[in-house]
Amino acid sequence: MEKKIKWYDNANMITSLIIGTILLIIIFTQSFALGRNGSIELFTSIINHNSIYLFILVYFILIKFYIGKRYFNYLSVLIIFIYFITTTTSFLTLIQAFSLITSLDFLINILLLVYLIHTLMRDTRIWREFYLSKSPFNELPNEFMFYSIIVVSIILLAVNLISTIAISGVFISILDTIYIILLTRYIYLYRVFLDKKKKEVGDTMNLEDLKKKINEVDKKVSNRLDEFGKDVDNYVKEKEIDKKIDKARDTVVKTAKNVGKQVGDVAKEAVTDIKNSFDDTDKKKTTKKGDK
Amino acid sequence: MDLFDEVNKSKKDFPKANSVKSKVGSYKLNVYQMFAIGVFIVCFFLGIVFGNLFSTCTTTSYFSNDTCVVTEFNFSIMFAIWFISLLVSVFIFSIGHIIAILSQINEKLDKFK
Repeated sequence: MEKKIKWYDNANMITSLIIGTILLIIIFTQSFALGRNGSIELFTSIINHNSIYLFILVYFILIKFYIGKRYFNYLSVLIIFIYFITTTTSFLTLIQAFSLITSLDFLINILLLVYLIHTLMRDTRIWREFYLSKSPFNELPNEFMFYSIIVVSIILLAVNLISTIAISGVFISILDTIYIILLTRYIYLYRVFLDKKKKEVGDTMNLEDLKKKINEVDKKVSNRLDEFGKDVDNYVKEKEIDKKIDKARDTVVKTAKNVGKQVGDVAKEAVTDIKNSFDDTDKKKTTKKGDK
Repeated sequence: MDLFDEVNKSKKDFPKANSVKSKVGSYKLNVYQMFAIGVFIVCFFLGIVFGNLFSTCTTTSYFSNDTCVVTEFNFSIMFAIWFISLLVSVFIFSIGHIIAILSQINEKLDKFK
């Protein structure tokens, strides 16, 4: 009987919730900004406050389809790049306006970036070629990263709720915290899946199993080669290729013999001609001496 | 089936770093193409600098809407600069590509003379 998975352990459910939360954030921020600004200001407001959410929304929608699953690693690079930009900009915001909110925001972003790199890049070619397994952050356990981000995001929520003066700020800061918790849960579940997969391989595949598997593959390959050899023999017999080759060989031998004979005759004739010509010149020389 | 199981079955790994390096290395760029790449790199960082210089206001003062209390990084300026620089560099790069093709044709024609 299949074990029932709880909603917070189900990656499908988490991704759907993330999509829903991002949509709510975009709708809320724009509806709050609607009354105050013109259309251009509204558009810049969408880009300023929701551009990152829009990119993440595209990522999670693509993950639902085959193309997103096929190019999962490439999409992971995209999400890491997005969070790299966010971390850089939050650092610049921290320099511009130093406060508890901006410093907590920067801390969350940097934690998320580290967590994303050390989880989504795990077991990929980048992980192996750039020796990311030797990174000091890799020693931090999955639970530590997950709970530290959640704790920091809840502190940020508390600070935001205390400092906000409008109802819109309350809604947006709550939704933003939910989004961060869901995103962290998604990364946590992926790392759990990778660890589980490694453990399963380690538990089930011992040396004997590996030997058996190699033997099975070897037998399959040798059988296939035998079949291929038989097929080739049958084809040769069917098309009478061996007879044709024998015929061709006989004709080549015959023609070679004929050519050899002809060359020999020509050479003999040439030798006799040369001999005759030498004899003629000798005779002429002796007759000349006799005349003198 | 779990989402990650499906991802694991169908996901494609990255190409080898050496093969990417050799592919990129085999492509010879002319002056225009190198200039286009340089323009994009410069504008990439310029976008970040401008986004930081002309920051937006997230929270205004309770008493006056003209007074900004909390400023934030300006994404719209950054993306606008990135987008425009991408268009400009693609334009210059494509001109460079056309020139490269024309010079190749010219070299081939010279051989026949």
